[in-house]
Amino acid sequence: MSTRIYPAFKSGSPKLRVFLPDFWMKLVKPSHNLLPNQVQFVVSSQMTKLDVKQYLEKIYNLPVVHVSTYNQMGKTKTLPNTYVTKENDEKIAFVTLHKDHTFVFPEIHGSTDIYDEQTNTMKQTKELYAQKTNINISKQGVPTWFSH
Amino acid sequence: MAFKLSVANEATKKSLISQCRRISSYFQPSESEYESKPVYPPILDLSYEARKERKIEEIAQNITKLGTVEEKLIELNAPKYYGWWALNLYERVISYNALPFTQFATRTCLVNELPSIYNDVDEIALKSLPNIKDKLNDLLLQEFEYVSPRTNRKGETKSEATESDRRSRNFIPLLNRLLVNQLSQHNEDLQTTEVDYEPRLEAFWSLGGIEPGKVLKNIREKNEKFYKGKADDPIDRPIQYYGSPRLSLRHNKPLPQLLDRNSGLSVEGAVPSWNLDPRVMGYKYKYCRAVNVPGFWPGTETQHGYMSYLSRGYLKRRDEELSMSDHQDALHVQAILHSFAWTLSQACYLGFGPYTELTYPLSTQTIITDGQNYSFSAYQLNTCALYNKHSGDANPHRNVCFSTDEMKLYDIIEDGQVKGFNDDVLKSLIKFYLIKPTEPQVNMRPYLSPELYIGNVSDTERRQKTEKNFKFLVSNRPNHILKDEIYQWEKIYKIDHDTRPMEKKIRFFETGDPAPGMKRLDDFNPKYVPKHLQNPPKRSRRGRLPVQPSIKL
Repeated sequence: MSTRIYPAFKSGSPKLRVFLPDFWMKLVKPSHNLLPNQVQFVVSSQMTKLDVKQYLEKIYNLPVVHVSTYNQMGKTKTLPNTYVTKENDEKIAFVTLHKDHTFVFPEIHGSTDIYDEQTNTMKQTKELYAQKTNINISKQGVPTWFSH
Repeated sequence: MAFKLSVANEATKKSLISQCRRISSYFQPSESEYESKPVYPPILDLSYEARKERKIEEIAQNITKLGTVEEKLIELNAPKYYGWWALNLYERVISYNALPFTQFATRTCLVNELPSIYNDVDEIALKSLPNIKDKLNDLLLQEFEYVSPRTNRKGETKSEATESDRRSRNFIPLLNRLLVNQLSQHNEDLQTTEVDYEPRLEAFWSLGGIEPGKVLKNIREKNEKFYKGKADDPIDRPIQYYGSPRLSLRHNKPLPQLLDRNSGLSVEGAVPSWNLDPRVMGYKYKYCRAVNVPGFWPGTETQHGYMSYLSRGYLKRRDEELSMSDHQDALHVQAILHSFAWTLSQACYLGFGPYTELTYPLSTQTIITDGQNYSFSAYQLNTCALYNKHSGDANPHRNVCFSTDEMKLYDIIEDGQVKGFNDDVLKSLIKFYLIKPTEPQVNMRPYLSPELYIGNVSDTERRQKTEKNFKFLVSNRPNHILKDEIYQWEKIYKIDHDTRPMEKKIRFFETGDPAPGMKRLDDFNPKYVPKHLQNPPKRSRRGRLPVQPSIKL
């Protein structure tokens, strides 16, 4: 639970009354459509469902109805001619609050319109280029400076 | 010039025509092949949505066309050799805030009071109340005061939920016996009801309007040519329900209608809309067979449900784990799901089903009790086909559930006395037994052939095959041959990243074969039949049969 080094207790010495477990929770954007009263977290893999519930109830005063967790394997990646590597595994927790207690994950980076615009313009130029090269397929290899 | 050909029978006509056709076209076929006006085939809408709809309607037609109950139920399973990837709903596993989803999944509108049909039997109920009250008093004392719970050697009892279930398992049959005995004088049909103790109730249906999962969405987004703007189009999800009431009563005549199928609540009732994948509720998917079993087998004469009792011990555990605020909703959900499943599986035995819409309504009565608390509900099934767009506005009918809140029959039992007896609860209980089943005026089995069940079919091979297949499918036995599995290393080193291109492609996902999930039920090599038993027997080279027949030919 905790990676801190606590002093060994010998009878007679004062008890250490502060206990800091390595528990953390990260609110994330839901990976799929959830109910309005459900929230998705990435939590420390050492936490159990009960730990997640008590973390929210005791620290943030959130009445939690149900928690379900699962361990998600990290995505595998490869670059050409190199080994296959894997990202770290994560524990995902879906927390169900009371049915009237809704939550919507906020837009942090604004809309994704700029990104979509860039990809669209890239696509359009590619299509235009393909059209142009296709028109005079019989004149393959000839630069487009010549009339077509 | 065309001559009208008059001959003895079709065979001679055909042989004559075939002979004549070789020579000339002088003899024309008879006029039955020609119409006075040209008859064109229907003009089909070739858009993607229309084609998809026609495909599903064809599936529904294929099932509706079959003549016997068993064949229809087998055909539900036909497209999937390994079973349907279906949402599994259990009677006693109800997630938090399950009422909106349950109402959508069963297309039910909920009313918080019993229907008017129970007002007609009010007087008779009042008359018989005092007599029954005395006997019920004794029964309550017997079951809840004098019978002590079973303890182990240390003196511990099982959990509260288990103890509550145990007590209701003992109490409910005794309560039923008491009421049937006392009320048979007012309602003779009670004497001809059949009783089932903890029967197996399973129901399967296909629910449309659910949003697709991530995998399907990704595939659709990549394939922009066909699926532009349609990545989020809803899909059908199969649902399989498993439950078992504590006690159910059946009769050979159905219950009367609770309300008109074509007006009022059946057409205008409020049903919440829903489009999320049910897995957000905490329910799980599993590979399972499509099984529709109402607690008895096809061919039973008493095939109309009259009433059933459900137990509610699971609520004690659920209230601790989830919130107490959901207690009443859980009872409504249990009643709705059980009633829908029971009426749907009864409808399947009458020729209807998840792909064949009802032509008249079916009703049922349910009591959820643990001896002290009672919830009464009456349900009418107006529509059972909820596939594709029929789960939404395109379906004019809705099912109606009249369900009361829970009420206490008595407050407490102490000092050998039942205190705080509530007469209204007992009156409702009695009224449930006074409803008389009626012979219906409609054709009860419009989609079944006169044989009804496969046991009445005279063709031996078809009868034996169908019966064997039906019994195997409905037994829920696991497959002998497991489905092909992709190992994790193959997923990483062969599928996700092609790190082994030079290896032989012999695995099922490399050979280009169709996916294992697409295997149909009849897609297997038939059993080997030795040559001398094959029909017809193969002749030897000398023209003689290998085994000489005993009868002189």
